[in-house]
Amino acid sequence: MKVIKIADVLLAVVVITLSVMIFIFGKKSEIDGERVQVFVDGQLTETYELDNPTRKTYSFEKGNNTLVIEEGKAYLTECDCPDKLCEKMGSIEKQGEVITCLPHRLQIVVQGESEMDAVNF
Amino acid sequence: MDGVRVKKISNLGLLLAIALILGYVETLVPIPFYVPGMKLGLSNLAVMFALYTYGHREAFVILIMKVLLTGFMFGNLVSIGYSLGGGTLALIFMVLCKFLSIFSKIGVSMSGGVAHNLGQLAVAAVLLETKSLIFYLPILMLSGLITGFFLGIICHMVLERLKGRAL
Repeated sequence: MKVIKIADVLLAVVVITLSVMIFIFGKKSEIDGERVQVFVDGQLTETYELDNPTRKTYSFEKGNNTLVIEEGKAYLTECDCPDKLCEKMGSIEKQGEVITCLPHRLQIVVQGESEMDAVNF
Repeated sequence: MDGVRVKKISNLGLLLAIALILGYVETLVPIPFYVPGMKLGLSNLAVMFALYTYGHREAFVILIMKVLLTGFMFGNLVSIGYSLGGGTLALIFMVLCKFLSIFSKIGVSMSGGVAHNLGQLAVAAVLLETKSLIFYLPILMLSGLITGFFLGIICHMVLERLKGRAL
């Protein structure tokens, strides 16, 4: 049995082509967002303006996340979820950008003029 | 005959233990940037080893036991859902690719890596009721391809070294 077969290479090429195509056609918007929508359990709970500095703590059964909006950017901080991955995702400001905290099932999405709906995207 | 069965059972137990340890080792490896669902998938090595040494039934048993044990020890119900979605899809793809026999172990492993990440993303999309996670699709497919490639090489090397031994 050979270590690498032609089909392997083909598979790799197909996957790479597919991901490049998805990357190009599903490209993240470069347009600055206007609003931040907060989803809890997939439900839209609140909307904030990006140019209005805000600080809000969300409490869940399993812990808290604090949403901070400043300088036109939004990010999560002071999270006590086990992995703190939502903090590591950094800040978002462009239309369609998302931060997700899976343990707390919290998601924040940046929306802009064209109202690219994250749910019906 | 009984001796063969006992040997197989103990080997599968050993494989399960290796899968659990690899799952833990994986958490020690830092990933520079975070993408949801991105993992090295080291424990997939044990599943793939079982697939090649015994067959798809045994590999499936290792997979389910690994996911449940890891989930109950270190994770929660949600993480079990993710691992189950990713792992099952990965194994289905690997079994199919192995059955087609046009792929080498590396191709089988790559298909598993990509399918694993796709499965996890699909579970995430269902749980969070959002489609915006599609942004992560390209990077997840590529990372699955790359990790699958290297895991395939490791699996190939291990199997080569164990060739001819009664397992």
